[in-house]
Amino acid sequence: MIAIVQSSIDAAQLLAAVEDDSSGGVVLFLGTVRDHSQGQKVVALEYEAYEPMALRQMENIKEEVCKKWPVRRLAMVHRIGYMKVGEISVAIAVACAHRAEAFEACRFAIDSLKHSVPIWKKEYRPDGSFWVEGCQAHPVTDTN
Amino acid sequence: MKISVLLFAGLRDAVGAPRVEMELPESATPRRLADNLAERYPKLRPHLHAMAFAIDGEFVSGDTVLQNAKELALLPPVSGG
Repeated sequence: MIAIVQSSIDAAQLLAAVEDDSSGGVVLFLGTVRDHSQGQKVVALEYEAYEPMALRQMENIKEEVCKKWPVRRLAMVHRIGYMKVGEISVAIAVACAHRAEAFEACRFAIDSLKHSVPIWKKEYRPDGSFWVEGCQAHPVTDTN
Repeated sequence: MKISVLLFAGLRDAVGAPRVEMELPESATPRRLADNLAERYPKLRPHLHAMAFAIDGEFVSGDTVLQNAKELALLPPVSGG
């Protein structure tokens, strides 16, 4: 299960997608909207994706993870659009025979997603909205 | 040749449109295209050093010859997750 969705992410759905009798360890990572960034208050985030490429890069990550670790099942979902503090923006579930490889594979998957999947977030703060580029925030250009 | 340029996030805001059509010589590269576009849209200039490029959903280097490409995506540094 690899997907980009507009509506809320249901963690139970990811867990169901990686159900597997030969797995003894399932790791679920949830990325949630945090109420602060670099010392600033954040009230909401908005994500956008270059969808066809993002899906392709997510598939590439899955392939790489499955080459490096004996992964039985992997599910990866990113939500786009506007999200309030506390909502889930990304979820990854990995099922392996043993927990050590499940933790490592899941960690690698989320780190890779943050580096190579064309998705961007805009932070909404009390003082305005800012596109986050890599790990720095830039003011949103007013085009009107 | 004609090529469609796709713009995302801060780059789209800098240009004011998600897609721009350009006419370029066959020998053009993504880097050259971005420089040309920044002449038309000066707000793009501060972003030039950090952007990445993709053709058909795969990253390409700024020196790739664009010959036969129909679409080039200009990507600011990603911030998903």
